[in-house]
Amino acid sequence: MARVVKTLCPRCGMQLTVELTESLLVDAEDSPIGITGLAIPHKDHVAIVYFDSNGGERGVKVVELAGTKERLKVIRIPRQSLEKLENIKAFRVFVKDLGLVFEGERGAFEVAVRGEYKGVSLDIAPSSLDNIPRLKKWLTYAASSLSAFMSVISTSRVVALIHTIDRLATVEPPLFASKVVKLLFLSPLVTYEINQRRLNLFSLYGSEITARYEESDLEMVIESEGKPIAYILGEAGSPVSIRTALFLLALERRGIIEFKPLGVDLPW
Amino acid sequence: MVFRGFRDAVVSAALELRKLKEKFDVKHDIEPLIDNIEARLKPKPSEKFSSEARIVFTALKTLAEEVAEGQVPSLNNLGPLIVVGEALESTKTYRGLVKWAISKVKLPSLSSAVEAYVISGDAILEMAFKTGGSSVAVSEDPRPLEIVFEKFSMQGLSIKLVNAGIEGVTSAVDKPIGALLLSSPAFWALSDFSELIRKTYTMLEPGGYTAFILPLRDRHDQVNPLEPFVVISGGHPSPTLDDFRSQLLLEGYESIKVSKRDPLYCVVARKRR
Repeated sequence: MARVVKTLCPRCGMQLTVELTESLLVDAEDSPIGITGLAIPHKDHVAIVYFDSNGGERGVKVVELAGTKERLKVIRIPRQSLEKLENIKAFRVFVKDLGLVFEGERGAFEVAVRGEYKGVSLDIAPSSLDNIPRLKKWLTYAASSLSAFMSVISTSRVVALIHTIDRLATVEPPLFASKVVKLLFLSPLVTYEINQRRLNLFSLYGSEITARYEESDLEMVIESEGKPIAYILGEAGSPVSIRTALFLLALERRGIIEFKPLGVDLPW
Repeated sequence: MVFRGFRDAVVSAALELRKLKEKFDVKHDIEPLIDNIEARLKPKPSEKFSSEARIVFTALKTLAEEVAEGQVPSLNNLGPLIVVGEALESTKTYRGLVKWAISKVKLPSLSSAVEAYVISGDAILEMAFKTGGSSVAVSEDPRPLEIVFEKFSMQGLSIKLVNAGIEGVTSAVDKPIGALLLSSPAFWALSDFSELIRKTYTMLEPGGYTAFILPLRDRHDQVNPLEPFVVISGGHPSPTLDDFRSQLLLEGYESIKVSKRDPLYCVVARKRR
């Protein structure tokens, strides 16, 4: 029975398991330098574990996967930050232009679904296979948001986005879902200004329009002017936040409100 | 108590323009237009606005005040015209004209209906309800297209959206154009009617219809009270109904039908077969 050796990847700390087969030991014996290497690709790199003909470990070397021009910075999100996730078991967010990978997991998984947009990819392992079709759409919109607003990407924003996606996983994307995700993603960083004249006019004729939106509270919109839109949206990804975002977008496309970044430079 | 309606609200708003006239950067002097309106149409002060008239008055006042502050609408940024247009198109007067226009248009089953300069999309939606055919909305400003898209989606109807000027329609639509609807305030405030009559004629299939909703003069010496709002938005003073009809005939249109809900006209014309 072949012996099993465990070692750690010096790049990412992942435990690597190697089975010392007969052919591996023969390769080392036949080698002019008396050692042989076994390549173990994982994440965005490859660990080459060297053994002598007795099965003794003789070092580990890390090389980049072909096509990876620069070293990626991998940011692992601690499990305790992910305790509230219900519909996501693990995730990986790759932002090519920033050379960043964010990843985290809270349990074993078998299947992952991916959404990608212009150099950004999000892989999510869902708790339930039923959510995959919806997640696929939301992930593409989320990748689009990250791609559009790369300047504000941070660990906390990514963790917040993962929690948002976790809540969205069970919701069918509505019309303008892409814009909804952008608003939810930027909700602490964006506010809006009201054009009072247009709002006054809208309040005279717009009752048929506001009736389409369950969260169409113009008083609340007035009260929340100048505050981060997170204030009016509430918990990002909740059904209420989606409906409120849709109402804000309806006002924006009529020029009644205008979104403004709060102290950050956003290509809004 | 007498309640003043759509026309009286337009007149009242036009007279209010005097207070802002120095702030408008316009090609045509609006003072003579306002004088003409005041001399003929000044409403009685004791009468009150109906709810429709209140919407119309507030809409036009909003447009005037924003233009005076430099928010001049353009085709690719309608600015205040989105809410102003949506408000005007929401009135019974406007909707009545739209219904009348659609009732006069007979769209062949394999043709498409196009609304250009779209704002609320009510006209193309009405057309879609009537014919069930292929619908197209056109606007250089993308925001009205979202408004239209939302309305159609909520009704379970499909529509093709073209984010371009009216010239972009022909290449974007694969079916022949059987009906062109030019009914929103963006059309009458931001287009050149004469030029548009030529363009629409070439775009239509033989026997196709164009429906125009716009302010026209009854006579040369009678200014339409909406004209000052067209002028401050960068447009031209209105032609008379007779001049407009003559241009349509000259271009080749026939079977011209007209309906008036003061101060707006609806003109439906058919291209020769």
